[in-house]
Amino acid sequence: MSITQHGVAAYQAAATRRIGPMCHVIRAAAAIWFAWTAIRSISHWVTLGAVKNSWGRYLNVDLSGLPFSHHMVAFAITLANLTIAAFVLVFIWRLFGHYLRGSIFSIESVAQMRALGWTGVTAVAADLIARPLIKSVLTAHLASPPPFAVWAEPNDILHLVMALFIVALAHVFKTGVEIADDHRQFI
Amino acid sequence: MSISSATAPRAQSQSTNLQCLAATMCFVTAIGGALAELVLAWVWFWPSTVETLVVPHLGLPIASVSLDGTTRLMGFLASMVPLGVLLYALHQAYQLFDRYRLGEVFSPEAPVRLRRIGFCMIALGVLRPLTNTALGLILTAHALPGQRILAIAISLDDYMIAAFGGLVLAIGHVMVAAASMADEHSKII
Repeated sequence: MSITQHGVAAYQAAATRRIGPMCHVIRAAAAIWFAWTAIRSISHWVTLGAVKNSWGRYLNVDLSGLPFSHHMVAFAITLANLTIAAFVLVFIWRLFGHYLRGSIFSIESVAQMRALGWTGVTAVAADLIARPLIKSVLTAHLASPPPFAVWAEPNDILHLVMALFIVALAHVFKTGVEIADDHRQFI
Repeated sequence: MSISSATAPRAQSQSTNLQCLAATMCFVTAIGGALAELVLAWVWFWPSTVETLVVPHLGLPIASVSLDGTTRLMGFLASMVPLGVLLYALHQAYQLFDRYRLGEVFSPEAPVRLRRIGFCMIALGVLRPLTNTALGLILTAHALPGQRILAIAISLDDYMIAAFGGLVLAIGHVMVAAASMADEHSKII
């Protein structure tokens, strides 16, 4: 092994030692978040009675006559939404995987961070679309279903700002990596 | 064409893009903070907005809730605790992006500010359920004994905010660790 290779290996080992525990904690926290979201959603949607009660109260309509097929379509929309949340977990896992390998200021880790941010934005957008879609599906059997309308809740705005913050941070990191790269070529 | 003349315009263009993005983020954080404060004041100023927005959110029965001026003032002050933390985080974000707007990409302050934002978001994740509990107590304080409500609930949103804080905190730590190790590495070489 050359001195340079030995230096890089030592650098990566030191990086893993210093930030490793924190990276593992974040990966675990993200996995718990996704598991919590998935278990909560699926356990709620598999029980027809619970769906009728909670969504009926939320939409202020009587859903006692909800057909099984409509319930299944609404469940499918929820699962599609959950798939996007799974991608958030995947990108967090990959980003911190790069950090664990000592690849911190690299184009690859920045690409994962940017993908994470844009997936977060997509997840918020999907939430905004899924809610009125589910509402339409669940109320389609009613004599006078409520009109289709997209609405945002305060948490949607907070989630959007959080996702855009990661996108902006990824852009900053990308610029930093490219400028550092340019400087290395210049030298 | 030499390497320097080929890479210099690229670096300049990258910096310009970054400065535009940073200026936008400065604007968004400043407006976001001001709007959050105004909306909170607007909600607690009118009894009708408290009744339609706050009471259902807390899951309180409207019959046991008092909406007089003192209660709403106390509610506003309690809500200001997590909002104060959020405003501090937004201030840190503003300062962070202001540095980037000025073209200081490798500022030593950036990881410090990132870590502060991370800590604030973790604190926010903890404070939100506590504030909701306090609001339940404040709004039902005038109710008859037996109708006062003490409810503690941790939502997925609170956990998500705290996890986001952890993520930002970790990125800040990673930046510090990378910078210090690169420094040590360059000294060894």
